[in-house]
Amino acid sequence: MDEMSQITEILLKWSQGNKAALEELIPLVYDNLHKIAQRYLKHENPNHTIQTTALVNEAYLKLVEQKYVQWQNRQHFFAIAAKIMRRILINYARDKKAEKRGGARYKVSLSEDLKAYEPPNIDLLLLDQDLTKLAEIDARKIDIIELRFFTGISLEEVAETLGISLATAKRDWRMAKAWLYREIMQSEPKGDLDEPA
Amino acid sequence: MNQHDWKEIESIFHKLLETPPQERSELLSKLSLDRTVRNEIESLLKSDQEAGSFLDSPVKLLEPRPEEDIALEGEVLDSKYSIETRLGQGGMGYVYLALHLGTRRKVAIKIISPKFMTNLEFVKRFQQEAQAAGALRHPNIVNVTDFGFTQLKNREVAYLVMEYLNGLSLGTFIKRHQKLPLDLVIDITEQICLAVAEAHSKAIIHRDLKPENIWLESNRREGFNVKVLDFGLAKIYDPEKKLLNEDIENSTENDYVEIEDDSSSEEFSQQQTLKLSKDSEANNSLQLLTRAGMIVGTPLYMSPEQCAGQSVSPQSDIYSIGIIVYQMLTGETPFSGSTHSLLQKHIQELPTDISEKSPNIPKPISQLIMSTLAKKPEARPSNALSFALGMKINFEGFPALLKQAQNFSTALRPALVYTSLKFHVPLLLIFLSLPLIHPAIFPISFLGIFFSNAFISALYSVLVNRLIKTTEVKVEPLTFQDLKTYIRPTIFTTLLAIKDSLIKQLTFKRSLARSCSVFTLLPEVIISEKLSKDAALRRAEELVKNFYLISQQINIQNLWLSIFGFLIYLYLIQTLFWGRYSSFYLSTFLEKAQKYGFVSVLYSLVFITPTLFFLFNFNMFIAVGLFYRKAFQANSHSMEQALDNAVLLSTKTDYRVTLWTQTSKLLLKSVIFTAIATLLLALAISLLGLMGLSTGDFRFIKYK
Repeated sequence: MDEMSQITEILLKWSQGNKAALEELIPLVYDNLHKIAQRYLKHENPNHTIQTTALVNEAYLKLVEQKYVQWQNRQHFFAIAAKIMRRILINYARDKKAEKRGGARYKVSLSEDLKAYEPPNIDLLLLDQDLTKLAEIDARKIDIIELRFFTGISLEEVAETLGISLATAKRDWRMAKAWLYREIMQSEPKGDLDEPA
Repeated sequence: MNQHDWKEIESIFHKLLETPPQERSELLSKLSLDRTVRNEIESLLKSDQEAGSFLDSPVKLLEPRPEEDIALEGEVLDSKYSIETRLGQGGMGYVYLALHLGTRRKVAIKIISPKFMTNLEFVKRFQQEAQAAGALRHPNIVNVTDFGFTQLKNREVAYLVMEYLNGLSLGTFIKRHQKLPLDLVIDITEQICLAVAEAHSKAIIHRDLKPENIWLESNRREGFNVKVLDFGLAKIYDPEKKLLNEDIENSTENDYVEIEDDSSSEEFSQQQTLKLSKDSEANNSLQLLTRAGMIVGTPLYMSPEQCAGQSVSPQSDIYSIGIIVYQMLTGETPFSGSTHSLLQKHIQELPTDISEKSPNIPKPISQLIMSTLAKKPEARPSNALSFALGMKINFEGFPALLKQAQNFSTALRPALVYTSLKFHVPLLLIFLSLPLIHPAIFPISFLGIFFSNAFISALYSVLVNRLIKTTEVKVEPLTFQDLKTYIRPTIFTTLLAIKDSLIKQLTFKRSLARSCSVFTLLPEVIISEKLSKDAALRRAEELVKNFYLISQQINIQNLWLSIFGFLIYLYLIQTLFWGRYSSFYLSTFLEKAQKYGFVSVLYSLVFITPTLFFLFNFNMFIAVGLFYRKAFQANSHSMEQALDNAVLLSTKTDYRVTLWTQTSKLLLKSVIFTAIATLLLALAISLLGLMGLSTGDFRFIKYK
């Protein structure tokens, strides 16, 4: 029983408007998405990049094939997956950094450190911190940033996923972008980034 | 900053963005804002200017490095196969061309990559593919001959040996030729469908049908032998919509395969105790392995239920076949785009009708193809065979049926003649003598002849059925017992059908053409399926649904034959019983006939010849019977039903025969028969005259 009915129950609660129910699904999706992401993160090939959308799609296919989850539609899934993709990538960046620091004890530039990503000029750990800060002020913007930046779907699809108008999505995106840009420009890379947030 | 401030900042920020930059500071000072709020807005505006493409391109990952290759060329596998060259890459390893040392025969060997060998599940998966392929023996399915484990370069490998195919994949072929001609597409589709139907009958669903998995070998007869490959994703299917490969799913003990958890996500490792159920997880990661490689390719051919993660059925394969057919005919798949959008489109978007892209495809065929792309599995053709057959019947049309009927009528001639003499001739005589009672009954007599033609053709199809089922040369002719069982339901149902179609036409619910189509197959349905009344009507409607063009052609031919036959019979009877209706029918002619008795005899005999010709020309009637059998097969709900009648599928016919040549042949034949008969009779009568007999007294019934 029980996982199956448990998940069905969670989804039911969610569809009835209980947003917190979504969080309960995270471990399940995380588990799948994480394994898939691992394959990509373990042996990077500098010549080819891949959109995270592909990974999320793969995780989706995997979960729906297992039939534990009757996803109402893929948008539900993406809403969860965006949050998880962010955590996976942040964890990865953090580990990489810790590994480099603790192991070889030589200083590396951030961009080299984060070579698993493109564009390399964004410090994911800083972005994560600032996103957390922004979440305290305006949580909806976080959803937009996560969906657009971490799963790579278009703003139109983001709007559809969150059930808001495209105009609202665009406005929120612009505002959040300006806010995050300022915050990132203001902060210096700090030593305590290795600590769990 | 509090929520209220933030809302204010946000609305002013957006308002300012809409105003030109030079007016912004002015507007801002007008608003008399709190100091901190104003600073915040100014700094946000500034960073909005500077941000540029910040965050605009989403995060990307670097792709995994490709597998390190181990050169296997030149090695001898399991001391049996000498590996020659690499042919291609599959989901779990490479495919090599090899030489079987025992027979010196070329074979293709799929070797599972050593890195997957460490995982029991991958090996099981591979074994499953071998077993799925091993369960299938069909000329259109690649033949798997061997499977085993061995050591190669000190590494454990598993291998699967298949026949080596010369030729090219359908994918390559489509790339080269873009659009393929309809007759070739139908030939290829038929072969794919035969293979897939065979798999379905063994409860195996392919799940990964795509042009790359379909191999074309030249058959040296202007066509291709088609082979379906790669049952690597195949699932064992249970008709009760449950997947059956429990041996594989249950054997999984540790589902967390291969990928170690090397990130230190403490926060989640706790929650991972909410584990996914174990059994199919590993199995699925195996599929995903294939999928990871094919995520760009295969979603093009995936059915909506696969995209949505619902259970797959044989109809999922039919959807994929539909996409392939669409691509062969138009040069492009109905949907394209990124994986993300593809999955969405398969689930939601309606494909562009194929007739818009290729207007030359006959409408029944394009409709049939579009029906395979239905979002709901139930709305697609019920099985692969019926889809192939539906395409073929519609493409070949009625002439092919007539041609095939010729073969059958040759084989069945004695039984057919017997049946005709016993049932057709008396029936016709009854209906033809009806106007003798009263001239006003003549429309009934006409309908009766139409009806008896249909009924007799249905009786003939019983004979055809016997021929198909029996191995003996001699087919039992029909008996009166048969007639007794068939005639009652036929009459009642036909009456009901006439009433039904009259009502529907008067209320504009159905066209005349559609009603006629139903009548074409009604007697066949009553006799062969033992249905009657409403059930028979519904079944007949269902059967002609996809074949309305052919049924129209049959109707025209039937009508034409009936009218022609009716006129002939009429003249015949009239002349035999001349004068009785001379005022009603062709009086002038008969007056003359009265004067010259021998002329009327001549005419009656002249009319007898074509009458006999029509009574004993069985092709048309058998063609209707064949049409019924094919329509039946193409609408079968179960594989057994379809295969039961499959004997007709293999009959090769010449596509170039047109309906016109068939009809004109028929006409020409009757004209020649008539001419010869006339000549002979004229000769006979002149001989009688020479012998001194008065031809004027030569009458069957004396007038007055």
